[in-house]
Amino acid sequence: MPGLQDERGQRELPQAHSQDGARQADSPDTGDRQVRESADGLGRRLERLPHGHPSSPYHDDGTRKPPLVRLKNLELPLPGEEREPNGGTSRDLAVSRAVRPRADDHAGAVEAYAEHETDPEPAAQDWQSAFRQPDLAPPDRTPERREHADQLPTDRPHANRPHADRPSRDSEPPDSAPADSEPTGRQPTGRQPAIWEPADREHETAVGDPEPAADRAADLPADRAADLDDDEPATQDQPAIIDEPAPAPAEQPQAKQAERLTPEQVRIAVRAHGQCRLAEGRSVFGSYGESGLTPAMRRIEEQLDHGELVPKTERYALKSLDRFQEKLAKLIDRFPGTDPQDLAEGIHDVVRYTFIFDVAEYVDGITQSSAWLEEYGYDLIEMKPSWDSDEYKGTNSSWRDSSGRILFEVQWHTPQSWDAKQKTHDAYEKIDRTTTPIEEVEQLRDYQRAVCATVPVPPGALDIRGYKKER
Amino acid sequence: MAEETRYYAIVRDGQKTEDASGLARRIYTPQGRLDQAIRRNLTWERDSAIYEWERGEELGFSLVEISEAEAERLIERFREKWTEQG
Repeated sequence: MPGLQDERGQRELPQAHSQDGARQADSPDTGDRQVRESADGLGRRLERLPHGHPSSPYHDDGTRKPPLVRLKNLELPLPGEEREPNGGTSRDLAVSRAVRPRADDHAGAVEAYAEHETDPEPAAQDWQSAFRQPDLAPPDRTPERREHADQLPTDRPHANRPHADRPSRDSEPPDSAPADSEPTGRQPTGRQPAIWEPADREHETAVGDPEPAADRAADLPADRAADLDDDEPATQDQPAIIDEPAPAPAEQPQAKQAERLTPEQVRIAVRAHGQCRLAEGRSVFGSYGESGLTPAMRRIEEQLDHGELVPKTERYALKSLDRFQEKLAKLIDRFPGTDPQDLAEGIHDVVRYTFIFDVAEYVDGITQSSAWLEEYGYDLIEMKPSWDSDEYKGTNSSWRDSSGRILFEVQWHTPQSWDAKQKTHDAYEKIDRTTTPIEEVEQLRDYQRAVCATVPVPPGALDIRGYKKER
Repeated sequence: MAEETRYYAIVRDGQKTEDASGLARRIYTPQGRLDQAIRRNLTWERDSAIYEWERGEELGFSLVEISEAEAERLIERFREKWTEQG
């Protein structure tokens, strides 16, 4: 009751409240002053409670409890709503359709990646052909027409997926957390090779004993707990959300990239980012519970034979709103006729994770962690191995969470490819900037190639097949 | 030396080329590769789509190389579509 306590110090000591006084306060003819005094008296009575009493403003040890947070202040504003000075939201019923929460919000997102649970037999065509890149050769080389994207195989390993005992998506509540459908054992059930896996590999399924899931906030290892508080400069492509003090939705539209977007597009971005933030799992207090993608990734990590999530995973799990808006603005420029809402929902790396495996375990590590991701109810949307790229080494993938609404990214690296990614990050950023002179772009790309040339290719990595879920 | 230009339809989510959501081109200049994409006002502006695709890290879209004539048809389709959209 911070408000009551604050007021208490600014008032004269109230008369001792008798029961009659309490009744007086309830009587219809009492004024505001009496109501305030009654509330003030309540605050004083709470002050007198024994320390540690549930209603006492003090802990057992006499320290004051933190101020209570009003639930209305935790609400994300709906599109068209504005945050009131008191932290609540006011609803603007005249919001445009484009930013109004649509009845088909979910359906729209799902439609963008429509599922085919009853996929036909996997086609024999290797998806890797789809990842042939535009020709890097100078113009005097014979131009080579690229294969069309719609020629890619439409197969999906869903028929092979070990989900027989998992509730169907349709039966899940829209906001169900992945934890709701998580497996209890450490071994993915009925593990079958996924379509993207090298066809000639044996796929390990042997894993260790289960460990009970624990409250992440309480049980985070010291190094991970330190991650939450670590304020070292970011080395990935955005500052961590921890650097942004529990972003208040009302403040988010003020982000610096907002000027590139229309107000309506900013609202779309804020809403999409807010949904991702909720899905990621960090509470407004900065801790994690059982639900959310990040706790799930940590549980998957614990169940792997080898490998781990990169350091500071919690710190970098959520792309900042600034970077999200920047990316949305770029996509709006690039795809002028596409609904910004679709573009925002299609940004797959607002929430992202990176697993690192030693070279020898790299391919098996992808196999095992992917199996766990599917076991947890996540749906593979795209798998893109880039070990044949000369400017980037690694395997990137996008997944849809079990609610069907949120895309997230998982990258797999070796220590060397991860190091190369860090080393070339600034170059990547600069190349991506359209203001960088093209001569400098060429130099930066040469630098990226030189760095990536030092990265050993894990055995079998070139055989990893790309995959893209048919729309 | 004449500059060569290559065109790429940018397709999202398994779209067909004729339904592409964007159009990019690469001009080989003496200074280096100049990458551009068509904007809503039908002008070409710098864009990193081709580079992102070549690098391989980005997901969510694909490039399909097309001829200049196909690119012109695509631009015309964009003109009609975007005019309708206002």
